[in-house]
Amino acid sequence: MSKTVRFRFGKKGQTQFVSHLDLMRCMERSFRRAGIPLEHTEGFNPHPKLSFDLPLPVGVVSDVCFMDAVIEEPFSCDELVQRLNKALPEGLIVYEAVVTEDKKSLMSQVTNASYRNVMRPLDCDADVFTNEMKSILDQEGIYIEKETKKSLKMINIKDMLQWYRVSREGETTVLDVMCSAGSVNNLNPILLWRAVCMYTDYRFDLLSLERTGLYKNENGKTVPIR
Amino acid sequence: MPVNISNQLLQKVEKPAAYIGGEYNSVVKDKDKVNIRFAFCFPDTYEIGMSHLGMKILYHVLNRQEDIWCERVFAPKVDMEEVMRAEGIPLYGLESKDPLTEFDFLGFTLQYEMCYTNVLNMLDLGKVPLFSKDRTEEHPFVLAGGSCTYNPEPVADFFDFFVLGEGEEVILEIMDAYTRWKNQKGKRKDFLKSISSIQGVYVPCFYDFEYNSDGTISKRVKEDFAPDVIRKRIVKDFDAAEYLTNDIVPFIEPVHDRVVLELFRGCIRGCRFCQAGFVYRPVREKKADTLIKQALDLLDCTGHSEVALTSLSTSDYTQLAEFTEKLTEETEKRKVNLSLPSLRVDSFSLDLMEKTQKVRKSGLTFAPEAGTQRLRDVINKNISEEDILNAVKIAQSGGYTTIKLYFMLGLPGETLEDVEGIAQLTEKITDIYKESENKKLYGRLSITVSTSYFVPKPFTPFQWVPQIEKEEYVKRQQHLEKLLKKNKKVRYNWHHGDMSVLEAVMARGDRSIAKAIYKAWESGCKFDSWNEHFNYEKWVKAFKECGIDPAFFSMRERGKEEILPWDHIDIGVSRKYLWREYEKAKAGETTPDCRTLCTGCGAVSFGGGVCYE
Repeated sequence: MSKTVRFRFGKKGQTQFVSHLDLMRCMERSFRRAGIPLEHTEGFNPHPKLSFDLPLPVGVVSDVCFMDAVIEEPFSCDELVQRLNKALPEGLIVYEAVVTEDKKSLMSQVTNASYRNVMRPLDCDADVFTNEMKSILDQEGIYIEKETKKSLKMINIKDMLQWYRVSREGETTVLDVMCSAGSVNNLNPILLWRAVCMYTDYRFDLLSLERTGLYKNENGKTVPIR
Repeated sequence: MPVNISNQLLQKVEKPAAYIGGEYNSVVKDKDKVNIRFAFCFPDTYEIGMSHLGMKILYHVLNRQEDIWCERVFAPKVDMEEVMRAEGIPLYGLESKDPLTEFDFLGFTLQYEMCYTNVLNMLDLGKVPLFSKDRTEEHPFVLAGGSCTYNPEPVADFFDFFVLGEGEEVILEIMDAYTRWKNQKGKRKDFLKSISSIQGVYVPCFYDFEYNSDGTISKRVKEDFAPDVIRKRIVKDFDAAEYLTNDIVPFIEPVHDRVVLELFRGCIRGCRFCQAGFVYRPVREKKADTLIKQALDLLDCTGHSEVALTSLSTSDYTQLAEFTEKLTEETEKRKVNLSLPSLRVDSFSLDLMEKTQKVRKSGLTFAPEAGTQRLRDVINKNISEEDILNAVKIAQSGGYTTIKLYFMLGLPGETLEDVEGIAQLTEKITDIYKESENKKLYGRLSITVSTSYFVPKPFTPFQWVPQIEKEEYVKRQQHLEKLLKKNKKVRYNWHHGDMSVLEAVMARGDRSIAKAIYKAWESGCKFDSWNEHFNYEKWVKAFKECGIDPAFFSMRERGKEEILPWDHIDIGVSRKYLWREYEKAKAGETTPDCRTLCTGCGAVSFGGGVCYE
């Protein structure tokens, strides 16, 4: 009997530069190395039943990534986590595994994501920079050119920001945002970072860009995916 | 000290994962606990380099030694190079991120002549002097191996030493010598002297050439202690040879992304245009059981979902039937694909393809190389028109409708008739489908004809012949194009002429070429094997500025007695044998393969392989 297991994993360190497509291939191989047989699709070109949540853009780290795997052997969830962690390259870590009855694909459920940007100003005080960030985000519209398949389009990313907070932490400015995510309406955090770069004259280092949460809509409420 | 590549910089480049290391099975050691740091440098992109089996084997062999740490270095793509130069980041090893200057050895593999400018670019990015003579005690030793090093002279000025032949045994002998030398705190030259007596090691600075007024070599001179000839290395017992385990699993997709099994080394065929057919002699096989074990080991530790077979002519593997039967049993069990190389088409291989390629019927590839039987006899491509047409008939009845045909233009003695023979052969293949009862197959038929521009290579019977003029090549290519246009089922591809001309200069050049390579690099040449980067005008200018006539190396016929720049390299096949083969080529006589009859090439002196079967 096979079962669907939902894994929560982290993509950190250097693996933030691994693209989503490469991550999928990497995970597939890790399951093979771990000796965990995945159920395959039928047909001429069978592939393992393994699906992921919203792709993490290159350069973004996270501890809240999910994948659903259909597993053939009756391993316990603890053993799955243990085996997989031994077979993963450095930077990828599985935190938990639960058997799920959820039949909907992970990707189709995502409606929102939260991100945390940690920035260090290079030529001004962190207070000054924090205020600068606040005033940029407080504007009615934050416009940036977005490349689509056909053309460049001006978009207002403020429309996709549900919530944000700018705070100073030591010598850094921390920007927390909650934004639209998923297949309908998606704000790529890299685009937000590029917009911030455009709006300010101050130079800064982006120390880290992290996805801190993934959310779905349940009975009209936004709740974390788990 | 590791280089500092910030996240923001990596955001600017395509496929940043090529520059970060950290792949599963990549080896990280404590640098304070190792004595020797070796950077294996592949002078092309990550995707190409990570498909190279030789690098993987040597990485494994070196890292199995506790006191040696071998890392990988690839040529950064243009966008990454721009970022590195702008930020002052030197080229670094992927595992430690330490700059090249912190290594003891920089070992390049030279797989094709068109990579030479990339070698210079990588040394420059690593802040290592490009010329061997400019390096001092504080610099790493720069060495090279790989098939181009059988004529190392064009790049001799850039390397401290070369390793000829198969590297997995000799590399450790060199490392031992290094440890001894390091303990004695000797001079740079002392180390080079100490390894010059190891079989397979060539230290070019101990040799020099004198020239006649016509530019040919009059005499080779050398230091007293240096050997007269440098004999290549082979692994005599290939079945027992160290093999790859714990193969690195790249994040980004390399050109070949799978487990690779090396069935045997060398080739029994002796096609006269093919350098590999001579330099890798004698043929040495691995046993089927050994291969199965290695395949399973590799699948376990990589998680790959595909296995591929490699060798120069897989159909010649003596245990092919037994081996593939066992292998398919295992691959089916594990839901792993078996990817077959181009096999000689017969009922056995078609049956095998049916078994392994469940997805869809992929194309069949034939390499007749020449259009007429006369010319195929000249090049000793022992395949008859009947063989080809029979194979096509089998393929046709098996339902295959995609056919690829490979030919060379400009082979020695080629006439217009031979060129037209390519079109005629293509027509006959088309007719087989046209005349068959299954009209659907004819409807779906697609034939791709590809021609390359023949480049004569050292250590082949054609090492004395001129490459045909480019104008002549273009004429023949266009003539063929016109003929093939009449056949609606055919798509025709041909090679860029200028690139093959340059390849011919590099392949048979002497030591004087180095300054032109340097000039070309200085003027911006790199990635010369990439059409989008290749700039022939810059090369022409570089040769002109150095007073070199490239045609002297590419399009000149050599005399029987002429000293060739690679005469001091011994591949085991004698020059006499190659000349005899050349004479036979001119007479249109063929030579049987090694298993049918030994024709005395000289490789028997290695004491193993097919010569003793």
